[in-house]
Formats: sequence, C-alpha cells, structure tokens
Amino acid sequence: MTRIVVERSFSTPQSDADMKVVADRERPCLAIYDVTWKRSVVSADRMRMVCEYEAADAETVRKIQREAAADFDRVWVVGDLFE
Amino acid sequence: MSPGAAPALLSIRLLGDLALARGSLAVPLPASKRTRALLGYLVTATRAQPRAALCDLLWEGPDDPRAALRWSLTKLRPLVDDNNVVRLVADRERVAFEAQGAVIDVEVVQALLSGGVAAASLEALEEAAQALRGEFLDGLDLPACYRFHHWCVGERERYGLLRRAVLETLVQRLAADAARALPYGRAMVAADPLVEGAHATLVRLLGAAARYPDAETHYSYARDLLRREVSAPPGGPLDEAIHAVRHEVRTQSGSTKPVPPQRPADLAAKAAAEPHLAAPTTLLAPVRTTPLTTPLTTPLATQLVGRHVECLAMATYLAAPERAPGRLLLFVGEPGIGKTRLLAHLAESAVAAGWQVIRGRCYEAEMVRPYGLWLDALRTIDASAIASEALGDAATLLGVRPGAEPTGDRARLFAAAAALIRALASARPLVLALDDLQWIDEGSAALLHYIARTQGAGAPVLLAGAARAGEIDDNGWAKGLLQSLVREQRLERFALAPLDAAQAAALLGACPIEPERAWRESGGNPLYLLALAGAYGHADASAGLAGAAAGAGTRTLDALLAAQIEALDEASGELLAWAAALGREWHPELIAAAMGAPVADVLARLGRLERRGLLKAGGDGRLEFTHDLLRQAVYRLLSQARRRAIHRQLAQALALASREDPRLHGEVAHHAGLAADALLAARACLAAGEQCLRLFANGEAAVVAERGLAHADSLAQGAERVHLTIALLKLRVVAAASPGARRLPALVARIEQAIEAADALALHAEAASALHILSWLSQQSNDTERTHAATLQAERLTRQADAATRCQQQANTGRCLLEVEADMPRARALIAEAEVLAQSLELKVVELIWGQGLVARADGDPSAARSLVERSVALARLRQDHWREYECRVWLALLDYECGAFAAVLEHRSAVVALARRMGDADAPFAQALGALARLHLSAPADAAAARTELEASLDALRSADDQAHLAYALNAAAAMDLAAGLTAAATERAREALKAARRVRRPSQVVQALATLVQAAAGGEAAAAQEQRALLMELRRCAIEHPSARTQAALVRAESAARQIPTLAPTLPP
Repeated sequence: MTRIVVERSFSTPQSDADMKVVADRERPCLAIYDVTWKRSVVSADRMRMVCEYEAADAETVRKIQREAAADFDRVWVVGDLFE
Repeated sequence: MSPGAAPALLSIRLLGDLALARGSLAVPLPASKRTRALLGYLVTATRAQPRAALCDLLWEGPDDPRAALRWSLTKLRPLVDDNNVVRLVADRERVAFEAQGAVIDVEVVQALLSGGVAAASLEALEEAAQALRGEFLDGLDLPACYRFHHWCVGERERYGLLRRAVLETLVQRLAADAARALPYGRAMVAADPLVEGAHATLVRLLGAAARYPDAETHYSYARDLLRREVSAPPGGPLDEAIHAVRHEVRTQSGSTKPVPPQRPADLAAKAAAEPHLAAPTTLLAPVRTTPLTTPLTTPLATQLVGRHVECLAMATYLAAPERAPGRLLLFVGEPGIGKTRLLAHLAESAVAAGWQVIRGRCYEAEMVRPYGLWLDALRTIDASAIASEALGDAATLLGVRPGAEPTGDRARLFAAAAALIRALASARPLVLALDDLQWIDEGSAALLHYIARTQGAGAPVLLAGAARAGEIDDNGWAKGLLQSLVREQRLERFALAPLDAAQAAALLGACPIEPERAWRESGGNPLYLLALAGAYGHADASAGLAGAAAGAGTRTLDALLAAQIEALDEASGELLAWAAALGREWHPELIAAAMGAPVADVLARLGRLERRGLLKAGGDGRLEFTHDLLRQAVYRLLSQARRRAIHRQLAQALALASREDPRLHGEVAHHAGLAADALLAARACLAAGEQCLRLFANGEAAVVAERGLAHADSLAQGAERVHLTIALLKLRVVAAASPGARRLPALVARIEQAIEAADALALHAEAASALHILSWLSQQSNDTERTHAATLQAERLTRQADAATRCQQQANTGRCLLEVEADMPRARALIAEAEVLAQSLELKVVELIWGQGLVARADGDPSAARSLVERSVALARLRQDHWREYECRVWLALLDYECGAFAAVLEHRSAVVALARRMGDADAPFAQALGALARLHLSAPADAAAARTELEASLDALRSADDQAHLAYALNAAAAMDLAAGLTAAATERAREALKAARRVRRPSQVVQALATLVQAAAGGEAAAAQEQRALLMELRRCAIEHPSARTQAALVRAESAARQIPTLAPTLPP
C-alpha cells in the first residue's frame, strides 16, 4: 500500500462537527475502496487541513474525496518520511 | 425665486455624493437616506417605475411602505420641480423623473463617450475622467434594502468599468507625455487598488516621467499590498514594470547602481505639483508633507456651548428624580450638531448629582442584531454587585452570561429586563443615555418602550436619547417607538439648532481662526467648527486662516474631514480603512485577525490614532471613531473593489468568532452581503435569523430571512441553494407566526417554486420540509384543499426520502464494488435490490442507472451498457451533480471506445476535460488517453506520430497522478494496438507495466488483459522462457475462472489460441 496525503483549505473555519460530517460521508467509501485513514492535522485557525491515508494509488483517494464531497486542493504520494 | 424669473438651471450629480444645484447654488437634500436613494434611482431609471417596485426597493418591511414612498416624494418635489416644470411625474400606480432640461452628470458622460471610449477625443476623455472620479451615489449605502443595494453596487461596477476604460485609454493616448498621463495612472490605482496591472502602469509612468525613486517607492508599497491582500505571486506585471524602469535607468546612467529613493518632502513637493485629479497613490494616503504633532480633529470632549433649554430640562429631572420615570428626553438634529455631546453632558451632570449612568449606542451596521443596544449598554454593569434573583432571565439575554439561551417567552424576557433596571435604580437613580436611536433594532425598540412604560416612582430612571433628524423616519421601528411615546405623553423632543455666531466663537476659544468666517462656513455646526480648527492646526502657521480656509474653501464637512484623513501616514490610514468598514466599536484583536496583522502592531497604530482624536475608547477595551461622520469620510475614500475585499475578510474573521458568540451572525451577514459573498451571507442570515427567534426578536428574524432569501436567489442552481432557500422560507414563516405578527407573508408561490427545484434535484427531504411549511401556511389561510394536498404530498415525500436514501446507498455500494471488481455477486445483488426500491417509488437514481450500465458491460452487452450510462449522464447533468456527470462521461467514453465508436470518444473527451476544469482539475488524463487511442484508430498514417505523442503524454500524466487502474486500462489498450501492428516488443513492454499496475490496484479484468497480451506477444515471436509463458497462461486461466465476465472470457480465448502456436509451450499445456 502507498501513503497518500490530501491537502485541504477552506473559506471558513471548520468546526469538529463540520469535519465529522465529511468523515461520516467518507467512511463507507474507505471500506469499499480498501483505503485506510491514518491521521489528520488541522491548522490553528481551522482553515487548512492535511490528511494521510494508505491506499493502492492516489487516484483511489481522489475518487473518495469527490464521492464524499470533501474539499481538497491536491492529493500526492508520500516519498520519504522524516520523523 | 420670483414668479416671473427664469429658474436657474438644475444640475444633478450622481457620480460621487448625490448633489443638486441650481446654477451655482447647492440645493440642500433631505436628511433621509432612503429619500435621497429614491431620487438617485428615479433619475437613473429610464422609464416610469411602479410604486410597488419602489416600495420593494426601499421600504419593504413591517411598516406602511406606500405611505413612506408618498412622504419621500413630497420631500423631493420642491427640490426638482420648477414653477411650470414638473419633473417628478407620479400617478396612482407609477412614478417617473423627467429631466426637462436638467443637466445630469451620467448623461453628460454618456454623451461624451457616445461613440465608444476608443473613438472619443482626448478632451472628451479628460472631461469624462473628471466626472467619473466619484463612486456612483457615494455614501448612499443601504445594505438593509438589499434590492437597492444590489442595484447600486451593479451601477457602481458599471461606472467602475467605464472609468477603467477611460483611464486606460487616456494613459495609452498620452504615452508620449508621461507627466500628463501620470494623474490618470494614479486614478487607475485609486479606483482598482487590488489590480496588479494598474500598479504596473503607474510604476512605468513614474519611470517614464523620470521619477525613478517614486517608481521604487510605489513598487514597494504595491508589492506589499498585493501580497498581503490578494496573495499575488511575484514575477507578474508589477515586477516586469519595475525591472523595465530599472533597466532604463541603468541604460541612461550607464551605471548598475540604483538611485536612492527621494525624501518624503521631495515626494510631497512633486505630488503637490500634480493636478487635483491625482488620486492618492496609497489607499488613503498621498504623500505626507510634515509629521503630525497635533490631533487632526479636536476631541469632542470640549466645553459645552449654548444648549440652555436642554440643560435646564436635564437639571430639572436630575433635581427631582420622582418626575423622571418613564420619560424619554430626545435630542434630534443633523450629524455633528452636538447630540452626543449633550448626552455626555447629561452623564457628567448626573454622576455629579449622585446618579449612576448606563450608556448605549446603536449602529447602522447591525440593525439586525437583536437587542444590540441593550447588550452593549448593560455589558458595563457589574453583574456581581446585583442579587442573582434580580438578574433572573435578563442575565442570559443581556449578555451577562454569554452563550446562555433564554427561557420562556418575550414577555418574560422583557419583564426580567425591566426588573433588572428597577433593581439598579432602586439602589441609586439611573440615567440611561442612548445614542444614534435612528439605527435602533426592533427588539431594542420594543424593550425600550416596555421599560419606559413599566418604571415606577420608587426606582427613578431617566431615559435620554439622541437621533439624526430625517434618518429616524427611515427606521420604521424607531418611528413606531417615538409615535407610541408621543401618544403616551412620555416624549420630550428637543430639536438642536445650529450655534449662533457668539456660541461659535466661544467654542473656538483660543484658536486663532476668524470666528465670524468660520461660523459662516460651518453654518453653526459644532463638529464642522472643530474640524476647521483642526485643519487650522495643520495649516502653515504663516498662512493663518487663509491657509486653513483656502484648504477648506467652500468644501463640505465631509470633504474637510476627508482631507484631514488623507494626511495620515500610510499604516494609520490602512488601519482606519478596516475600522471604517467594520462600522461599529470593536476589539483590536478582531481587526488584527481580519487584517492578518500582529496585534501588537495594530495596538501601536490604534494608540496613535486615539491620540490624534480620530478614535476614542469605548467600553470593554473596544475602540470606535470619535464621530460617525469621520468613519463615513474614511469609508468613502475606499474604492468599491477595496471595500468589497475588506468586507470579505471581515466576514471571514467574524464567521470564526461567531462560532463562540452567536450574536455575531448578523454582522457576518452584513459584511458578507457587502462583499457580495452570497453563500456566506445566506448561511449567516439563516444562523442570525435562528438566533433572533431564540431571543424572541421575530421582527428582525423576518427581515433577516428576507435578506437571506435575496442572497440565496443569487446563488447558482443546485442543492445548496435549494437547501438554504427552504430553510430561510421556513424561518420567514416561523418569524411571522408569532402572536404579535401583523400578517402572514405571501409566500405560497415562492414555496411552490422551492418544492419544484427540490424535486428536480431529487432532494426529497428538502421538498418534504417545504411541503410541511406550505401545509401550515395554507392551514393558517383556511385553504383546506391545499392544506390536505400538501400534507399528503409531504408525507409521501418523507417516506420517499427515506426510501431514496436507502436506494441511493445500495446503488452506490453496488456501483463502487463493480468499479473496483471486488465482489461481483454482492454488487449484482445490491443493484437488483436498489432497482426494486426505485421501481416501487418511481425514483430516478444516478448511481443505480450507472451501476446497471456496469452490470451490462460485465455481461458482455456494451450497447446496453452504453445506453444506460448515457442516461445516467443526462440525469446527473439535470441534477447538477458535476462529479457523477464527470465519472459517467468517462465511462461513456470508455464504452464507446470498446464499441469502436472512436469519433464519439473524441467528443466525450472534450466534454470530460471541460467538466474537470469546472471542478477545479487542470486536466482529465484518462479521457485524454482514450482520445489519443481513438485518434490512433482514426488517423491516417501521417497523423499517427502526433497521436502517439499525445498518447505517451497522457500515459505520463496518469503515471504522475498515480492513477493505476486507468493506467492499466490505457496501457492494455495501447498494447493491443501495438500487437495488431506487429510491434510485439512494444506490446510486451506496455503489457508488463499494465500487469504491474493492475496487480497493485487489484483489477482482475486488467490483469487478464495484460496476461493475454503477453502470451500473444510470445506467440508473435517475442522471446520469453517457456516456463514463464506457461506460468502466465496458468495465472490467466485462474483469473478468468475467479472473475468471469464476457471480456475475460474473450481474452482467455485469444490467449489460448496464441499459446497453441508456441512450439515450446503447446505440448506442455493441460487441456
């Protein structure tokens, strides 16, 4: 499986409830497409977000975002990981 | 004017502040903003306007709009009609303005440019540029009258475009005379400060006018502004312009060393030499001449001059508290006449007499913030000093416990608030000083009336208020409040007259300005006098009054204030612009958040502005302008584009804050509306209206709902618009359903339209909700038949909504499984179940038809599959479901490719790419790959090379996007073509990559295709070890059994046939 990152930005700050709505829409798609959500990072002003998934390819993750009507700016494959 | 005398020529200015003049004499306009707006609208309109339309435009609301229109027309007639010339022509139905020889500036501009901007003479362009300096109907902003607001903004944008065209043409025509073109370059920047091209033009002009340091200074300023406000990346036209200027300077001087920027004094001298048309290079500030050392305006806390009658009345009540309860002393007058100063005097006197004082103020920007006046006024109370039983329900309403919800109803709320006031007053007599009542909201007006009616003698409360004459009549709630108080003999109204000459001299005190002349010029308006004194403080001392007055000339108070603000430094001017747009008192943190500036920096700048008397401290650490006229003057200096950009950022900052404080929703709606952000405005109106209902402010909820509906109407068709429209309609009906509401709104047609729109988009839950509203509304109107029909339909739709959700979910899961080829039996079962549900309820579901198409493809019926997917495309398009339309169109292209309809594939490719761009994607690589493959099939040999290049580019794009499933498909298709062309090596290479990609995303059908191609290529002579060939075929057989479909069976047959032609393989194969 490949690590995939999704970058998002919003025109208004996102509350926990806003994010939960999208996560609920996304969940069934993740199971069908065999994608695993790993983690998400939200900016302090809640206007930006980065989510990490494990999937067969980046397009599968893109498809899920569109299907779940989740806003995103770009999707890319993780190369190296520094921690 | 004597009856026989010829009337002086009437001229009307619409560009800039609305102004009327007869000959050279200005005609005073009515104080009512709506009346002036009406005049502007009628003068602009080309034909007679129905009275109903004018009422909707400016007076839609709970009061009597036709009476308000009649009143306004009576104020306007004497201004525009002459003895024998009737210009305002009205009958029972319509009203028209007929120019009858009056000179109207917009018509003059149109005549000057009648042949088009490009064809106009230089003189005509210069005259037009002069006329187009001001914004259309500047200062007549009425965001609460949304129809007028939208019309006005539209006209401003129209004239803004014309102004831009005129200025651009002038700059081009004067290319050889940079000094003459420069003012127009500056005007371009002032008009469109966020347009990079305008700044680039100005930089080039400054360079061409041999003013290199000025070009550098402006470049730095513009680069910072564009980066901060519109995130403009470097390397654009502005950078190109400065590079060109620098290059020119180096070429001329023969040196690579840049010339240092000039000192501010040099810049000021040059700026002063430019014609008055020159707009400021910066947003508010041209170049400062000298550092400011004294306040620009004298702070208003000066001595009180005159006003003996009013002071006597105050003193009487303060000396005899028992006479005070329930009376409102109202000071009425023009802006700047001293109303606020009188309230301040009352507060000082009251405190000296042992009273306590609570001050409140209304704001134009927040007439939909329920109880805004009381929330602000009572914020200053020390709640801890009041017994908790006295706080009661009022504590929650009045913000003593922010975020808490009130209980009970409006009557209980008002009773609690009145009890709180009584509790305060029983300890010590209380003055409530309430400013700017012309902008009071409905809830605050009702509560003020309640408090006036219910105060007892034991707890003396003196109510005092101030309001602008004329403007108070624009506010139905304020007007209603005053009428009630007059009827009950609770109102004492004081009309404040201008100061006389002696009083003016006393106010000016030691200021060495000629009092008589200042008094004449100011018309006795104290704020004007103080502004003149302030201007004198900054004029060259040697010039004396002549300097100040020459600067002032015959300018209005607004112009005088504007001139003083323009003299501020850039950073302070910038901050004032944001404060002016905010429109009320504010916390520095909010401005800092909206501007994206450090709080410490903002605080330092605010401190400077406070010391200069432009801002003053309010309660609770907030700041506000010392006078609203100052705020308006700052706001008028902003171009329409700049106002919009600031309001947008304010709306976003307030939206963030409104999550913690629901009282801010109204302000979000206000700023989002002014920013023309219809979606945010409509959402905020919904939230604000719901908040109003929670606080029993139904009148405001109705107003907010109407405003939200207007914003929703300007949204693009789609689910969001339908959802918001129905929610706002519900809010509107609920707001009108309170016991005190006068009448139910005529909403049936709008609700039916919303139901129709929801039906078209298959939004069953929304449609059911709208039907419930319709049912209730019909019930209230005793329309039994319609009620019955709507109820039944709503019930059916509610069931349908549940079933549709289930059907959608099943079809969606089935379709996904078909796409990923994961569990075909389950996918077929889900699609079949969804089909039964859809048939029983006559539902049309995109996912279902799409899924049926994929089943047909798996069954080997591409023609049926194509037909079904084509239907799903049409349905998705009807419902504006862009993503599904995109996906289905990609499938349609694929099916047409498989059917050999290559010309159709090319058509689909164009449509898919257009849809992808609409969704924000740069391209659609799989559609491009299918298109390239189709071109290869269609191409004559001569075109094949180009098609191959296109194919390789699209394959690279698929690799780059990491789209493995589509990459596998495209590679397999390309490999099949290579094989057919005898290019076995190329086919093998592609098939190997396809196999890898297909295995990675687990697409058995593509694994099968790749394996079949590899076996066929081996049969065609491509070298492969016999053992490997055998392994490939065995895997192919296994896959074909595990994932049976028409396409895998066909591939297997092809591969088996090829394998039998391989001499080393055939004998070893099991049957």
